[in-house]
Amino acid sequence: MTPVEPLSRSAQTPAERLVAQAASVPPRPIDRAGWDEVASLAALRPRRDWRLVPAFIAAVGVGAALVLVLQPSPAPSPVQFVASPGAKWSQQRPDEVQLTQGQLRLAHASPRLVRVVTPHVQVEARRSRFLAEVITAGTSIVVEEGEVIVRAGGETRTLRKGESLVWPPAPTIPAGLLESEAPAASTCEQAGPERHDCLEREALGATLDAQAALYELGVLEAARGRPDAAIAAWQRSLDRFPDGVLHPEVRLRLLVELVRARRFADAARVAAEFERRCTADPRLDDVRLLEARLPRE
Amino acid sequence: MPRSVALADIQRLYETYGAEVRQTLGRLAPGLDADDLLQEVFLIAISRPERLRSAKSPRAWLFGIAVKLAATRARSARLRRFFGLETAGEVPAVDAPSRSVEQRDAQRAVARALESVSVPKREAFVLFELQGLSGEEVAEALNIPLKTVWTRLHHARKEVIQALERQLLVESRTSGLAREEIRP
Repeated sequence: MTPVEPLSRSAQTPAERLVAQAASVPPRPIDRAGWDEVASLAALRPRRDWRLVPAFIAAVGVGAALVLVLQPSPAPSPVQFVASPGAKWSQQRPDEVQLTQGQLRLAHASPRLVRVVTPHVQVEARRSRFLAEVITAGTSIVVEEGEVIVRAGGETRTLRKGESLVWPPAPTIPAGLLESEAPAASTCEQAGPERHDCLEREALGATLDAQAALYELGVLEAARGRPDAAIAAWQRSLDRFPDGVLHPEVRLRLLVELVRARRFADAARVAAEFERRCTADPRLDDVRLLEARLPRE
Repeated sequence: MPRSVALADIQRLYETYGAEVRQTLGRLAPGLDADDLLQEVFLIAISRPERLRSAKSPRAWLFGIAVKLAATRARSARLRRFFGLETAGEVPAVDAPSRSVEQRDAQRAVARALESVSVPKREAFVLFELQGLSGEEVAEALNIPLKTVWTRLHHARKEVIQALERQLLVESRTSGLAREEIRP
């Protein structure tokens, strides 16, 4: 391609000469002070570095993502405990409750860590619902949702939904102590409430039948699921007939029921009494074994 | 590039090409304040010192900024006029006061002829024919291939010459002179 010449160098027609004339007009000289104005404006004007725009957008994006990820949302709802009537508890901190008596339920699963401390255990839960109850010589935990950690006596147990735990656990009762038998009250052969009334009447006497009636009354109450009544009946028997022919059987029944009722101190007292009074009883070793297993309060 | 060095470089560009750039702005965006545009061109230049370093021809790079700015401002001005927001201001002179009457008339005639030419062709024409940039500089300033420069220039010349001939014809009819008799 031949080099293209400007019209100003090769103008031939009047129109081309017009272009050449226009091109020959020199520009008005620049005022050097104009540069100072430009420089001062540049100093005042924030410098726009457009390369920073993608970086800014990325930073905003990362910031938004971090806010979404790290935001402890939603704000933790207040921990809501529901105490049973008569329960004794105190709350030193929003997420920790000291329970000394009765029942306490964590009604809503809280995202924050919640602690319930009883005389026997420390329960820790997050996003869980559970029931804690201070019972005789122990604490019962029932998990209703999620899972909880129970710490007690240097041990840690994890309980999940539907599981329960009583701490300290009741000692295992030796099989030999569960086989005690006594003669039934011969005069009361009825069933149901009438038999109970009959045994009560028979127990008023002072004969062997009265001893048998009191023993059987306790058995009947225990079978009915009334351990306190059973314990009362046997205790009454021992009060009235401490050396009666049935007192070893009564003491063993009483001991077992007290252990089942977690009345460990009373059980220890009864066991000691048995050891003292029934030195020749073949079940003495089992009683000693059980006594040794009793939790000390 | 340290900013102070860039400023010194751009100041030299201002002193060397500032007058030319302002004249170009006046030709590409007639009716706008060329002094204001010139200031803006150099403010843009100051904000992009790295582009100056990588430019093959600093002059072409500067003219490239001017061409883009003129196009943008002219478009904005048209919009403002359309919405009735534009107020006519005083247009500063961009040409040397020493120009002759013939040069002034020729300027006006060419300016009128350029009005009928599309912006891309007008840019190529102004830079090459009136401002004296080489084809390569025009290509760099407009950021287009050299071949495209010649194509645009070819069409621009044709249209400008036709427009000028029409003007000369009209003038000859109204003045009673033959077209050849009319200056230049």
